[in-house]
Amino acid sequence: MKNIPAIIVIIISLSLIIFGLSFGSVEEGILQKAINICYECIGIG
Amino acid sequence: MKHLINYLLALKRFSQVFFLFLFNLDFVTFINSIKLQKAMISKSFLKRFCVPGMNCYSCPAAIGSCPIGSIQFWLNDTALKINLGEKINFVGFYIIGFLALIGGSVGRLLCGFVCPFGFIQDMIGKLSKLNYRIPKIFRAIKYIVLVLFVIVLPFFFLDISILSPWFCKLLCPVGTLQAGVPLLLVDEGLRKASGFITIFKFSVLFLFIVLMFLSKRAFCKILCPLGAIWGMFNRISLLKLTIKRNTCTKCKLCEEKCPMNVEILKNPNSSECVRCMECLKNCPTQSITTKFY
Repeated sequence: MKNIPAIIVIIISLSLIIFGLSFGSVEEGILQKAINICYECIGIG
Repeated sequence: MKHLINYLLALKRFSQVFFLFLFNLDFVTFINSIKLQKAMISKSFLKRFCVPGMNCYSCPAAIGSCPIGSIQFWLNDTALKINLGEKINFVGFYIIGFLALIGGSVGRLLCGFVCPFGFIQDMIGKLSKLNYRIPKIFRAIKYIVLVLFVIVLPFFFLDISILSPWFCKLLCPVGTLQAGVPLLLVDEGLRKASGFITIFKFSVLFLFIVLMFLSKRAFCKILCPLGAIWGMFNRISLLKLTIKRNTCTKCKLCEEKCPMNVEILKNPNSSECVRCMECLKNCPTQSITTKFY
């Protein structure tokens, strides 16, 4: 295992995932928007 | 070795089809939407998670969330909460971490093996033998799009009354194809509400379909912000392509066959490389290999 930059990126990203899931609300931040039609995606609104 | 590469490439097609269906598994909602002639999208609980590829969450059958759409909505939401003095939702760090984890591990490999829109582009590319090299200046557009349309505009130019995912709203041909086409076809109300932006978005989709005939994976080359993010990790990711300089004859067959027009001999881990492994397949001396370290 010589690839130190990649290992640092992976450790930081795992920390970010844990932090985001622990202190953020997936329901409010992602799910709530994703279950409603995104009119912007269609080109309306 | 040659058998192993052929096996890997056969796995690539299977993998692309598999993930296209896996990310769009809610056929019931899709069929109901057609039956009832009403715009409906999946309300799957899995939509709290991002999928590793460009797959619009407003596709009636989509069961996961697009990471680029999610980042924009999180930035919209964060800007709104800062304006209102409310507590920020830290879930965006999960999305950033998720993308960085994939980038740090395999770089742009999932563009080649998983992304549903990448698969659609591969299929269109099969209909045409053309693969014109797109100048670097046009390839840089995706980085401008990432910074401006995905990060800066959603965070700083927010209309309080409506959320503004600028990339989805103005540019994304994936949303137009996966959500716009089926929903506008089934729902008369939506068709009546469509206007200038709808025409503009369909024009962008049409333009990219034409470009895909002229240059393979044109969307990945020019516009994809997800590819721009993962591409930045190609140089440092655990998965890397290497060239055995002692056996390479510099025939440049790898560069000829590369759908992304990467100068493989100069830079095998270019940020443009989607790790589709076509170079490995076509190398007559098997001088290109992958390393995971």
